Amino acid sequence: MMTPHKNQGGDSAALSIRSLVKRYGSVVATDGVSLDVSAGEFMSLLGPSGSGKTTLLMLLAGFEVADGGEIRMRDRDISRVPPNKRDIGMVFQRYALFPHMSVAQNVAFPLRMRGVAKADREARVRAALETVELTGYLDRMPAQLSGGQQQRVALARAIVFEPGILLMDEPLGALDRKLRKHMQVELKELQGRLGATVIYVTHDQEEALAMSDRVAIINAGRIEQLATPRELYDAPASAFVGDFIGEINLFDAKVEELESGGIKLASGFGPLTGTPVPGATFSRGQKVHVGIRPERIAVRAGAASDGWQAGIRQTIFNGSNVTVYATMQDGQELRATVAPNDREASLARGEAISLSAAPRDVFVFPAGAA
Amino acid sequence: MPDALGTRAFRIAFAACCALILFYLLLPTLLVFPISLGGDPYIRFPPRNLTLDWYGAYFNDPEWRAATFFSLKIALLTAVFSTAIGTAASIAMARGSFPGRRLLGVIVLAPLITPHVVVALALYFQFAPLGLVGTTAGFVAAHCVLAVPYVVLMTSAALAGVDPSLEMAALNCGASRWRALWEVTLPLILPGVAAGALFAFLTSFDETVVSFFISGVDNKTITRKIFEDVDFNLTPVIAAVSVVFVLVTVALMVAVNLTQRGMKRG
Ligand SMILES: Nc1ncnc2c1ncn2[C@@H]1O[C@H](COP(=O)(O)OP(=O)(O)OP(=O)(O)O)[C@@H](O)[C@H]1O
Ligand SMILES: [Mg+2]
Repeated sequence: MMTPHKNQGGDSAALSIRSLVKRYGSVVATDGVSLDVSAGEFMSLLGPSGSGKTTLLMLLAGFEVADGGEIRMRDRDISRVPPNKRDIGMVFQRYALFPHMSVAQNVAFPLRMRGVAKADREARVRAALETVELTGYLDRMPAQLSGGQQQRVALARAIVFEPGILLMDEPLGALDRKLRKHMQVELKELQGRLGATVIYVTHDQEEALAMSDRVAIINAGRIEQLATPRELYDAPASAFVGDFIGEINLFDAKVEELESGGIKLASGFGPLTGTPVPGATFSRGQKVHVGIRPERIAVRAGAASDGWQAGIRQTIFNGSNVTVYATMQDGQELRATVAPNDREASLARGEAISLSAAPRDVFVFPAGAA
Repeated sequence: MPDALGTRAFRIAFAACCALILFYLLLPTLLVFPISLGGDPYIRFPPRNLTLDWYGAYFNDPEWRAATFFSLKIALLTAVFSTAIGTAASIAMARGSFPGRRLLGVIVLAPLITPHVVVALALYFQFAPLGLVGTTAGFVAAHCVLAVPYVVLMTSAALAGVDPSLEMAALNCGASRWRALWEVTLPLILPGVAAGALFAFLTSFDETVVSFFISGVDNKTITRKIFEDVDFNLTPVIAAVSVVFVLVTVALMVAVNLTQRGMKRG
């Protein structure tokens, strides 16, 4: 990059989006999205159906025009650049291979459109197909390939012209579970090898967590949280994120006391101390949402005096751990996980237990934001 | 099994019924075949003294030849122009997003439901002051009005089968709108376009009412010539002409069918 440009992150952004808005009639599909993607980063857009993931990709690829905001690629505003003039490759959900062209012709297409000479073209097509480990299929037609092979051709076609950014809209969505897992690993390896900047849409949280450097959690057209998989799990910014990523117990409580060590709360089943999510301010008497991951709840047999008293409702064996379903004093249910060999794992229905959680594992979210 | 037998008997009865209805519908058309072979100088059924002379008379008569060539020329030009116009229109309607898209669809298809006499009269009153009556340009324009709807129907059906994300992929690969159309969309809808072209040819070649109104003294179509001769000069030549006419039509219908089958498979 010729002109060193500093953005909020301090590192060079391959792509910056600022306050992007897209409306379809009364639906705000993209609602003021801002984010920076660093060069070489693998970023996922994760969110429930209809949250606006595809819309965001369409805006980036130029198939939709934003109603507001801007998209910058290496310091160039590309918001109004037509799709064929953007330096962005895309892998479509159902691959979108040209059915009347062979594998070689499909992969050569972007080069032909860019006026690359024939000899050079052939070499680059071969190299791209080698990269995706699909050699020897040059003359096959797309209809003669398996889903995984078509996926590779689509990928080769998207990387052959060495675009600055690669967009993928649920590229593995059509594959069966086993092939999907395999392709996840391969895609991630390939991305690392090419140093490609990838924006990846999925609604499979496992996939997003496994592959991404950072994940943007999208909800109703907005980014709820943009963080590393680890941060999303350990420090969800909202009840929505906590619920969307991994397992969580969510319940209501009321603020009793604000202390430097945490917030003292009153819940239906007893007092507890929690940690407020960053950026939120609380006042005494306020209603809040509380979230605790099941594996962060300690379970002890018997009615200890310092925990929340509860009864075993059910224990379920999941292989690597056992989920304890506990009925609290106010009748609500909490889930906790324990190791299969723990004494607590083999308690019978109705036996008394007590639960506890460290203050840092008790997330306190503002109520109404879920 | 009585059940299977029942459905089988029903199927046979149904097929027989269909065959009878088809035969009844086709009979008048089929009658011209034997009539065209009759040895008498007037229309007679059943024919006596079989001969092929009437075919010779048809092919050697300059007026019949001129009318036949004129019809073929008009049909060919109509096929070319209406295919171009109809394909462009259906792409615009399927992929474009301009105001009045729906209205355009209605207008384009309107000639399908308008009685041909009405179209013919309207065109006659338009063409007469413009000096288009009896001209090639006039015929082609008139027949395009009637043929474009068929092309639109055929190509629209083909377009509906093309995933729009293919065109998006082409754009993403760096193709201009025009090249995406030329290299991706058109090859994929080609069977539909071909069927549309054949239909357009057929529409023009078979067209009678409009041709009747806008034919001139020199430039007349084969259909108009048949009408005139039925009135003033009824000989088995007309039967021979009809046979050739029917054969060309059937051949084209078969061709349409084949391209459609190609479309479904491809
Ligand atoms: N072309 C369109 N016209 C009207 N509304 C649209 C259009 N495309 C998307 N929307 C609306 O915008 C919102 C976001 O849609 P989008 O397709 O981006 O969701 P998504 O996150 O990709 O969902 P999914 O996981 O189901 O693919 C939805 O409410 C959808 O109905
Ligand atoms: Mg989507």
